[in-house]
Amino acid sequence: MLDEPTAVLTPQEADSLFAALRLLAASGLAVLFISHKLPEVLALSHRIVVLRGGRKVADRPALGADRHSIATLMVGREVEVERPAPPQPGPPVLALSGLHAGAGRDQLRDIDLVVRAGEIVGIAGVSGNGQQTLAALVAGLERPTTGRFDVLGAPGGTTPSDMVKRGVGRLSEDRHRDGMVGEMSVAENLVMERRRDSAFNRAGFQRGAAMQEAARQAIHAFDVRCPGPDSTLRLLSGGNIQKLLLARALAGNPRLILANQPTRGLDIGATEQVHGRLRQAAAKGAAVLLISEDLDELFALSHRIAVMHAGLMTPAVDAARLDVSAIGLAMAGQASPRFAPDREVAA
Amino acid sequence: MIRFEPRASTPLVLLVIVPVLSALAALGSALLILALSGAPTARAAGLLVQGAAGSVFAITETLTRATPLILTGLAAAVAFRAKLWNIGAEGQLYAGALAATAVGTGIITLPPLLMIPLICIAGAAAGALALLGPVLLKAKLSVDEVVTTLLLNFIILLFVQMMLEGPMKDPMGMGWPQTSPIIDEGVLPRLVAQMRLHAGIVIALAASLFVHVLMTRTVAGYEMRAVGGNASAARFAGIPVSATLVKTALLSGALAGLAGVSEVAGLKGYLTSDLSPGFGYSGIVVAMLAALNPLAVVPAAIFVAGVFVGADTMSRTLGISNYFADLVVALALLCVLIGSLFTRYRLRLVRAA
Amino acid sequence: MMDAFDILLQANFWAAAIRIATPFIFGVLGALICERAGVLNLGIEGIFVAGALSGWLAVYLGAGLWTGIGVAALVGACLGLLHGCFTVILGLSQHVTGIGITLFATSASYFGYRVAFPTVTSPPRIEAFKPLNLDILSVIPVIGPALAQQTALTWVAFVCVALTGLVLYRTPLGLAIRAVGDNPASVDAQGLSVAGLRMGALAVGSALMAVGGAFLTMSAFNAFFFGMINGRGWVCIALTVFASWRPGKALLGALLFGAFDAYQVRLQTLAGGVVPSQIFLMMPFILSIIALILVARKADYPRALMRPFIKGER
Repeated sequence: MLDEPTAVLTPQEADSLFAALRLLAASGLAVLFISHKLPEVLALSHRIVVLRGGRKVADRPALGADRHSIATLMVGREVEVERPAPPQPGPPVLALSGLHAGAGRDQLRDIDLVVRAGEIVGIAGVSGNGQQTLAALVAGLERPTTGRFDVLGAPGGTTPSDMVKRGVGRLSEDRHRDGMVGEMSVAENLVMERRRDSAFNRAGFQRGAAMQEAARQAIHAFDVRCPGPDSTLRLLSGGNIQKLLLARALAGNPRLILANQPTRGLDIGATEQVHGRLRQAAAKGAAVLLISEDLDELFALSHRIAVMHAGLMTPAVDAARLDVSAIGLAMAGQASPRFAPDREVAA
Repeated sequence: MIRFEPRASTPLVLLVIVPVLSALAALGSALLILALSGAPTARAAGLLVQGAAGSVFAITETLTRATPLILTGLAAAVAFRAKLWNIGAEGQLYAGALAATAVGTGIITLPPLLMIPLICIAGAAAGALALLGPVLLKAKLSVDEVVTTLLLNFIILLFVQMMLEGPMKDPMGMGWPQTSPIIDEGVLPRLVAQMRLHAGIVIALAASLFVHVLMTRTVAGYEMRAVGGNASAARFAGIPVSATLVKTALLSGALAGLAGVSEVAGLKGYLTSDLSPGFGYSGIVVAMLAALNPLAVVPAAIFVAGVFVGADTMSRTLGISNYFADLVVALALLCVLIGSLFTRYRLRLVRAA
Repeated sequence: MMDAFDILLQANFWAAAIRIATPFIFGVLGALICERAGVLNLGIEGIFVAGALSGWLAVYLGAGLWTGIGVAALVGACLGLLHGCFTVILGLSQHVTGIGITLFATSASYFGYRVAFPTVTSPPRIEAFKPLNLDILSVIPVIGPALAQQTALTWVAFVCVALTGLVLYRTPLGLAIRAVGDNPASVDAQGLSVAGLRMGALAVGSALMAVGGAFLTMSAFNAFFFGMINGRGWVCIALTVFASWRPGKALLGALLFGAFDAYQVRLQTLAGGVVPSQIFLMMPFILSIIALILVARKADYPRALMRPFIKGER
């Protein structure tokens, strides 16, 4: 039984795994492969079973199945598949040049990257190759050792509150570990970054009514299913928690959005909603830095994609020019010539 | 099979009943142990209740005993809420008492309206400082605060004993290791004629209200709760975790220090090394019985105080050791821990399919 | 100044050091076994008290010395299992449970003592363990006579260090215990019982703690006093971090501590009234805090320490 076994594998490694599994199955082993990655499920399986809401809603041969129909079964309704609209990118919002940061395995080495207003840049890579240091940098939890790190033309902030004030909206990689305070209410979690703003704070006392109202609006706008602003956050489903945290990140119309594994552990319905919000924000002029281990997500959202390996980053190249195998090779450290031209020039 | 399911919300009735039942269960278990030891249990129980609440004297004694317990209970509640394991309230209490004595035995004389606040501030500051060390060690060097606060209790007590036998010994105390008495202007006034109940209880009740408002209404209290709930998430959202822990420590230590001030300036009048029979540790039980709620600390402290005062009466009349009270309090902590399961979870009996 | 160094050359200094160290050896071994399995046992102070009382009381009531030790160990194991019911089985806070066990064990012991001896003011005595006087050891300079004077319990402590090291590092059981404190999910995935391992570690560790307490009433002294434990349990928790949860270093740490404590007692007589006695009495506690500070930054805590394990939780 394999449960999401390809989370930390490059596409090439995943292929090797599948080959091995096919061999084992041919010699009589029964294989139960649990995954939300539809291409893999379709590539590997003889039979596909779909679970939804704790029930089995489909049990059919893989032959003849396609992504669209499976996705529909998983959600229970028609699922949109959008390709990103070509952007008219504006001025650079995030500019990294010759950047070194962090230490150990997850460090960043000589990173050059520009993310412009209105575009979504996706960062691919197996976890542990520097992405989390990059995320920590943009979140304000880490500082560069050398090199340039500019947000909206000025050096990046040194603390999370600095970054929030500059207009950076951030989603953390692991909502349980450092996103949510489970014991507190929806409203309390929503205002955490803005707790000292005069909207929610009068001379050190919290404005309870304002917090409640802000929460009600966020619940409505982001479709957060919960009993109300006072519900304890840990009782909500993962998808609804993530939607609330997204509402928090997007409050105040940030100019730069850090979306770090934004749909990890979410069902298709919630994933759709989160993707829609990110696209919307980009369309309205925000720059989005998307870090994800899910190649489907990267291709669905990104205008440009860069790949990280061992602390180094390929140039961010038009997503239309890339395919899974090129990214897979880059993830393993063998970037193809497709990544070469157009070196980033930070304005 | 019994299954635990997390509750979506806990009905208020349950939140009140569980600590009460825990307290009664503790009392009951201790009386059972008493019965097993051959003592006249029914009479003992009666004396316990009578000693705690059976006369004006009993009630004032209980309230007097509750005064430091409210303060150390608040100290523990504030700290534990932020996941700061302050087990050093005992030492912080003595630090506060020492400071109160240093300031209040004649080195400076002011009218009562100024003298009393001065003594309180000195004691609170001393208590706060006593906890600041361990907290800074935790924040900067990742040293666990449980052991440091615990060991500091012993260090502070030895320091107090050193002071009592040396520089702060009462020259007119006939050689006993005790300090000079607090000057009249600094003594907390008695509230009931011929009883020992003093204004310290007013300070304690005010503190309870203050902490409640702080925790539920202010940004500072919100930050303390967030850090206690998930420090990583609080940090990510921009809450300065170290600074918040320091603030929490200062408040917690100050409250424990005030307990020391109250005992010295209100009850005893001077400092000896047996000022506190474990108020700091009992404060932890009070805080747990109150489920870390600052308002609930008051009735919880009164219960614990009642047990101690009642046990004293029981001891004087029947000769049963008043360690009985310590046993009840310890059992109460264990019972309320189990009780907390019922407030967090709902029990479901599941029949195997 | 010469006197201060001379102390180190005297056999009876080292004898005292080893004697003072013995309860700490037991205590730190006990604490490290519990913590290796992922449980911080703050009941140690109370378990010391309970062990001290129960072992002594058993002997007072007529049992043999080794039976008394057995009783103490049993009482300790029961208290450890009680701790486990709260923390391992019900997943309640290890901090609060530990404090609760300490308060309970201490108050129950004190109350029990008073029930047994209601009117006694000077503590009744028993025939304690006698020094073994192993004269063959005297060939070794200084340390030899020091070791020769020790009682059998101290040798038991040494054996326990060796046994603990052997089991923890050379047996599958030891591997399982270490794994369960680092990554319980991996142990669970192999079909072993996380709860069972942790409860077992608690029982054994707490039994050792209790024997440490019993050493005080049955070997070092021969009576039970209120307040005799005086923070030794807490010092053991600090020394456990200092010992990096390794039995060998635990022995070293305990001996260093014992040497220090023996030294400060002798320094007191030398300093003769100039420095208040309390300064010397404070030293062991201050030393423990310093030891903690020195090690804390790079302390390799068992990764699952204090996190309750819930089956199936992702």
